[in-house]
Amino acid sequence: MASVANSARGGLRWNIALVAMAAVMVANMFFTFMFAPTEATSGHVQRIMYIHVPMAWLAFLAFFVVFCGSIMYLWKRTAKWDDLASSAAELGIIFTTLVLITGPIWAKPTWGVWWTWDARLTSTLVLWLIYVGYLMLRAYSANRSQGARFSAVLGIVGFIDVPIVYFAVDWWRTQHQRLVLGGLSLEGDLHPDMRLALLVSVIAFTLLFGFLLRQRVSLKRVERGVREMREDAEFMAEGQR
Amino acid sequence: MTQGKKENSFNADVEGRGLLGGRGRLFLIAVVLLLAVAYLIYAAFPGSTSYYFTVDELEANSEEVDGKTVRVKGKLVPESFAREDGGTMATFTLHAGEEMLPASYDGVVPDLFFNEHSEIILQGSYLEGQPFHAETVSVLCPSKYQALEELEASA
Repeated sequence: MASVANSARGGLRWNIALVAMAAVMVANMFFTFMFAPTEATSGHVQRIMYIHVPMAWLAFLAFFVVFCGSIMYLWKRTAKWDDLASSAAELGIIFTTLVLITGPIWAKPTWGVWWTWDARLTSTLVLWLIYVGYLMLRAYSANRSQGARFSAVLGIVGFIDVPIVYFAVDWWRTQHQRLVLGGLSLEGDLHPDMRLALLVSVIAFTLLFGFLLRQRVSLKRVERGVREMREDAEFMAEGQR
Repeated sequence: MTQGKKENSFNADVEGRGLLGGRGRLFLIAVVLLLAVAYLIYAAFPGSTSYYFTVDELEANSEEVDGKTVRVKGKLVPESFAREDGGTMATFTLHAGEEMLPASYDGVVPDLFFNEHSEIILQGSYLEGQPFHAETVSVLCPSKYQALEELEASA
């Protein structure tokens, strides 16, 4: 219950951070729709990039958090690492889902098809399935400890798909566009103003991710607290009988 | 008292129940899953590493792929696109370097089909010596994102 007292004390600072995040999100809208120049070959459709690419980045980041949290859980066996990993997995699934929704919307007008089974798209779908499997594994486990352990193993092994998704466009022939951010992108592929708009979007959505992750983890902590109180109460009641 | 009870509920699974219980079974499942995944990767990759042939590769492997469904990538030969009057059947030619591939497609082509930077991927069954009839047409866009205004200004 210490977390409730903490959140009251840090309330003001937290609210300021929230307002700042909202401001960055609004600024991001400006960068996406006003600042970024219209793309020469595909036109306004290309603006989907400022949603699609950050969503993919956040999916990777979320699954990296799952990976680290899972290792820490298997090592330390403390519930907070399991909370972190499982919360990040839920967020990662949301962002991967958004990648899989915004992708086809962008693909249809530019490629001419909604979907194709190339290495990038297929490995992304596999990524989604791995982490949906992660949540199912937790849900179907005999008890919470077993679910936490099994899913931690999957959270570590499943992370192998993240570099596969990222490098797929470099390793194999794909339908998908090449990398536009990171070390493997080519100079001059992305207009400087588009690059700036994309970076702003990545920062804005990363802040949102941090906010959502914090909220989810603290909700899990409260859930755990309630569950333990109930278990204690039941145990006491049994003892009095 | 409560502490001991809690640990019981959190670690309710019994450890080490022999080879086919507890950890042994978990280990077995993990090994089977890993082998299955490894096999799937092994089985799937030779085919999928070439998502498409280029026009010249298709010509070079024409005997091997004859009668099979393939994807082939090339650039549109300028002015080669024609549509039959009042119909939806289109004919055009793709090229990769010197190699030419006459092709046909029944339907609407994507917006970026005629863009000079675009490369076109056709999917259909290849029959040696015949024009390639595409069942689907998709466009491979260059990941070059340029500003429309600047391009118009320089033109």
